[in-house]
Formats: sequence, C-alpha cells, structure tokens
Amino acid sequence: MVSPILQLTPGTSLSTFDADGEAPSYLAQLAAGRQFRVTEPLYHLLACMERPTDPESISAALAQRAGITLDAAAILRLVETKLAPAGLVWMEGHPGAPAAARPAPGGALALRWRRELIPARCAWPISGALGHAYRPGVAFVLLALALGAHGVAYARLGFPPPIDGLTSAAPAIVAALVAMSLVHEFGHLAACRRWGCPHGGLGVGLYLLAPVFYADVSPAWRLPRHQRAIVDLGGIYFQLLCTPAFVALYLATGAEAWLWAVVICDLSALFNLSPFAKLDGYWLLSDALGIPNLHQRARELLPPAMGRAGAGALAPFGRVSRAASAVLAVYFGASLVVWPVLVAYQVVLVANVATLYAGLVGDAVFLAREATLGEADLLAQAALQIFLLSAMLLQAALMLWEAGRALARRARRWRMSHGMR
Amino acid sequence: MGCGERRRLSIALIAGAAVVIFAVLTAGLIAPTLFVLARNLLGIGGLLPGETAPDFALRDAAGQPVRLADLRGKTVVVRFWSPDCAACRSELDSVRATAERYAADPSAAFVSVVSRIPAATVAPFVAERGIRYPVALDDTGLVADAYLVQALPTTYVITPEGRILRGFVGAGNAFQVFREAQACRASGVVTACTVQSEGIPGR
Repeated sequence: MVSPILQLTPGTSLSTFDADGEAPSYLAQLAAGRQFRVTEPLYHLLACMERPTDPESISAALAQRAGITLDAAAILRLVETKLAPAGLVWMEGHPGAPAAARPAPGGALALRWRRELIPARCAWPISGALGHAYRPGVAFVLLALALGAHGVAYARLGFPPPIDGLTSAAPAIVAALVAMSLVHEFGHLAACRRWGCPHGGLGVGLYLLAPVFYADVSPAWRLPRHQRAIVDLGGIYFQLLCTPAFVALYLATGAEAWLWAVVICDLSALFNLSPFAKLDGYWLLSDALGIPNLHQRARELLPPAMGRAGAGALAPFGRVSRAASAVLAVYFGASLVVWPVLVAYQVVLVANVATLYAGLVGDAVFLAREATLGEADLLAQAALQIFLLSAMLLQAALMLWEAGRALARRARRWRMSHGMR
Repeated sequence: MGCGERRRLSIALIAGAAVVIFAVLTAGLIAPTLFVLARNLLGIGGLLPGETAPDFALRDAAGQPVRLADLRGKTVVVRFWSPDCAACRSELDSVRATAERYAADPSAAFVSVVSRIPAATVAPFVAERGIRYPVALDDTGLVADAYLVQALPTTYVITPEGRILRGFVGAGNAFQVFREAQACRASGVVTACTVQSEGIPGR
C-alpha cells in the first residue's frame, strides 16, 4: 500500500505560546485565522510536516528532531482522526479539511452575525498611526487630559452622577457611543501594532443583547502574556481618550449629553473590565493567569457527577499552577453569584422590550408621518430606538433558539448513552 | 521561593482580588446601573402597560386638590417633571401648547407632577414660564416612587379604567404621548391639569 502524502496546511504558522502550566505549549494558526493550542510533541510533529512528506519520513524526522518515537501508522491515524479534520494538516485524498477550518460556534457568549466593516488592509495604516499613543510620554499626556476631562464632567454632573437624569437616547449620546466603541476597537488594533503583531479587521456583530463592534486581534496569542494584557487593556485606554473630546464638545455646545457620554464611557469601561462575560476583563484575567479557556477550566472544578464539560481537554498541557488554580476557584464561585444576576436583569429587560415593542413600532410609523412637519429629529430618535429594540429581541430569540438546540442535542446524547431511541 | 514564583504568586493575588472586587461591583452596581441606563435610553422605564395606576391625592401650587380618582372615566396623561431638569425645560413649550390645545376636552385630563421640590421653588418658575395648567406638588416623592419614576420627564397615559396604557421616559416623545391619548379616548380632548411631583433626589 502506498503511503499518502501529508503536509502542514499551507499558510499555517507555528509559534510558542506563553501560558501557565507544567508543560510548554505552542500555537498553530490556520491561514483562515483559527488557532489551536498544541502540546510540545504535537508541535514537533507538525513542524516535521512543513513540506509534503510520507508518514515514514515524518516518523524518522520526529525521532531525530525531538527524540519522540511514533510509528507511521500512529501518525497516519492521528492525522486522519484529528489533524486533517481540524484543517491543520492536508492529507492526500482526505475530503473535509477546508470546511473544518471554520471556527466553531462559541455558545451563548459567542459574537453573532459578525460582519467585517473595515478590512485588515484598511485598518493597518490607521492602527500604525494610532500606535504612537502607546509611547510612554504620549500616553502620560493623553491620560492626564482624560483625567482632566473627568474632573470637569463630574464637577458639573456631581459624583456619583444622578443616572436617572439621563433620559432617552439623545442623538449626541448615540453618536458618542458609536464613536467611542470604534475608537475602543482601534485601541486593541493599535496595541497589536505597537508590539509588531499583525491583526485582522474591524467589524460589527451581536453580543449578548446589543450590537457591538469587534476587532480581530487573534494573532495576539503569539505575544508574551504581558503584551497580550496591554492589547486587552488597549480598548479601554483608547476609549478613555475620547473623554477630552466629549468635554470639549460640551464646552462648545453646552449640551449636557456630552457630559453623560463621559459617564457612559466610564460605565462601559467598568463593564468591559468585569471578567465574567467574554469582554476585555475576561481576556485580561486569562492572559494574566496564562489560562486561555477560563470558563472551561473553571467548569473543570465541578465534580464529574455534575456534568462538567470538556474536563481533561487541556490535560496534555499539564496542571495549572496552584496559585492559578486558587484564582480559578474564586472565579468559579464568583461566577455562580454574578451570572444569575446578569441573566435576571437581561430577562427582565427583554420581557419589557417584548411587551412594548408593537407600540414602539407604531410610534415610529406615526413619527415618520410627523417628520414632514419638521420633526425629523424625533423620527431619527424613534428609528434608532426601534433598531436597538429589534436587535435586542433578535439576539434574545437567537440565544433561545441555540439554547433549545443545545438542550435537544444533550437530550439526544443522553438517550443514546442510556440505550434509548 | 524563586523570583518567577513570587511574580506568579503576586499576579494570582492581584487577579483573585480583582475577581472578587468585580464580582461585587458587577452584581451590586454595574448590572443594576446599566439596567436602569438601558431602560432609560430605550424609553421603557417605569410601570408597564396594564398595571393599575397608583392613586394619588396632592395639591397644586395654588392649594387646589388634585386626585387621580376624581379623573376616573377620563383618559389621563400624567407627566412627572421638574423645573431643574434640562430635558423637561426643553419641552415646556410643546407640552404647554398641547395641554392648552386640549384644555376644553371633558373626556381627558393632563396632570403634571413635580416631586421633592419645595413649592417656593416651583411657584416662581411656573409664573415666570407662564404655565397655566395646574402643577401638583408631591412633597414626599411618594407618588414618583409609586410610579417607578427613574428619570425625568416620565409620562404615563392612563385609561379611563385607571390602568397604564403606556409609559414614556425622556424627552422627545410628546407626539407619542398625545397620539396614545388620542387613540385611547373614545371622544373628546385632554384637559390641562399639571401635577408637579416633588423633585427627584439629587437633581
């Protein structure tokens, strides 16, 4: 029998990965952007396949390179069952590799409906220019400006600001939110550039119940942990740099909405820093601890009887350090408190929106007619409100649909494992 | 203990403390505040349609009684506002014009409430701005609390049966309010009667 030719999928790059754990780990990134954390033996195996080779030659090269003994049959089996389906290795005659390169859906906390708005090649020069904001001297001046802006805003509004004074989505607030979110994402891209790391584009998607911008900084996994932490914090840093502009607009126009934009900026930064949803704080904690799958590792603390998911999946990388394990335990306990609160608020919000949705759509139609009487600002406000409410309901429906499917899958698996049809 | 080990331990200590701090902040402050903020920005705060409108008995700046129960059988627009609320001030003209337009309607009433603001502050403002509809004073703020007023202005349209038809949070919804009122009324117009609920704390 003739051995098939194997080759690392063209465009796949291999690099070291700075993570917590007893064993060193590495990163394999597909040209499509999907990344895999791989063990040291697997890294050497993949490195032996950089050129088209047969399994026998790979076996010999692996023994010579890393002293690992793996016969050709075992290599072939590994490629057929794991590496080719994942898209990491191209195998002569193997059908499904390209499709497997698609990223897997990420569950309830996944970003949905991702649409790229600014491709990497357009974002590249902008992030290069903005990268100067990370020079220590420049950063000091900019942060001092932001601090001054906060002083002005909170002196005018009072501290804590009376949040009930903020009513309705004034166009200035919406404009500030959109601009701030865009700048936030460029902060991540610029931090990538600062460390000489390539990055992807910038786009829009739905996360939890709201439309959000995202920046593709997946290549940042190659960076050391402390640099990844700067990339994580880069968004909040840039977002805070918007506050002097908001205060300047307030001083120029006298519109209080710009001061509220500063408050919203701070609230959003705090929420982003919270490590429970997959926002900047999650990635920051993940990078600080060197544990890439915080939720998964935290779930592993559950006893097997409680249906822990994916337990042992990361076992090849060795146990995490005792200090990191202790933080994981705290994180797991805190998640048990925080998530029910977050979910409860979201359920109430969705229920409120669902109750009022028909009436609000009716208002938008009414306002569309009134707009001819010079009420175009009302029309814009109502249209925006309907868009936000619709996005929220759509996202809630998608989450329910996916949760239902996941439950059905689990039920099917349970029936099969118990011999039921 | 080596330098790397000490560094790892320090990071873990900071991370653990941050997790606890953010758990408390997220559950106790960030989530509730963002919830209120989202409701206000989306204009969906306060009592929900179908709920019974809490009754109230107040007096206006001139000492005249204003009771919601007396308005049973009419479509009532109750608007919570305050002289020191910029959004409310920006809508004074349109609200006044609408209230005056419907002043003669026997099947409807327009009630405005100012909470937690002294009459001595409200009365000069009302006179200065030429507000002719009654402004009811909710000195204790109990009426505003009963109507779950979290932001000003908040406006409710109440059916003749005394149930909430719609609630509106924020400025820029005068058209919506009066359109709902018009849709609710079988006939007639809205008469003017402003209830002034006593200011919201900290405003």
